[in-house]
Amino acid sequence: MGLFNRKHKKDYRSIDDAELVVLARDDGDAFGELYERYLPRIFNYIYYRTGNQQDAEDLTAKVFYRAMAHIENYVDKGVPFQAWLYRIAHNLVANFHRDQSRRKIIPLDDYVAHALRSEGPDRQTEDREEREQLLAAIRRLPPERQQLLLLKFTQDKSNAEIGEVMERTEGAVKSLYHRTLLALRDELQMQESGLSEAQQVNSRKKLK
Amino acid sequence: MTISDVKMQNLISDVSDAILYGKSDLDAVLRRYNVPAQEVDDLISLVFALQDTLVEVQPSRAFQQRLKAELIESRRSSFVWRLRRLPARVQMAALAALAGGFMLLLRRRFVPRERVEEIASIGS
Repeated sequence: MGLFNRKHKKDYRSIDDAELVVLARDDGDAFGELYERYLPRIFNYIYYRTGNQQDAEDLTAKVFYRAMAHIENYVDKGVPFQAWLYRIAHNLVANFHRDQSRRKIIPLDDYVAHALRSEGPDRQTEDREEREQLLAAIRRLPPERQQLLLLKFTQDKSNAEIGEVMERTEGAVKSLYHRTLLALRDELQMQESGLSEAQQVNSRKKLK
Repeated sequence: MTISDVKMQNLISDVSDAILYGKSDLDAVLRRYNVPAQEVDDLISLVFALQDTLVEVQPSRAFQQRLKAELIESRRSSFVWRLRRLPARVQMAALAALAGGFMLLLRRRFVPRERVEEIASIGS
């Protein structure tokens, strides 16, 4: 055994994040367990923020490369490991959007088709359009509001857990969530009422 | 912020929990807050729509496996990781060699001027 090499023969699945992070500094298997735990959540988050699978895969890979490179510097100061990962993901997505000259729209083909398989074609088209409008409206929200909705609806996180990730109190999360729903509702109403693009831009400015 | 704002925030939060996690009956939540359903109907519909739209997506199995293999490979090829995997005596020898080399460099850098001249005169 090497001086810096402490190999632990453990059942990694039964170990909590904090201990795994310490082990992962020396032990690839421990990092592998963290990877298995959080890859789907991070991918999911990035997928909705970027809008397509290829970009989501590229950025997810970057998140884990960065996490692996910097795991020795991670110190649990009340910020859970998963919150640290989400922050890396959030920053990379922000950089990604900065680098993009124009935004892309999420391809809904995969999961919407799956969700609507049991319904008639007319209903399918209508529902699909509504969902596309809702997704487009979500993606026009400020990043922190998008993050909140994704953590709540795709990750099933409580307000307290969302607060940990976003560095806000539970009360602040509730408040932001309420304002986000109101903004989203107004945005959808604007779309339905058929306001011109310029009018919508002005109204959005007022809402924010 | 008025009290009604806080009440509304709590109501929407509890209504969302009832819809997302089935923690409690939606009508029971509305009764508890004593708010007519029509006042929050549009927001409740929006929560249902969000639940329906923001479904969890999974990365492909091929991507998961490929990335894991790449991460492991990149870690193995890093210098620090390799150093850690060496046996203790090799690590000690490597450290000693590094320290010795460093000392040698320092000594050569700070050779006294007289010594340099002496060495130069031997050559001539």
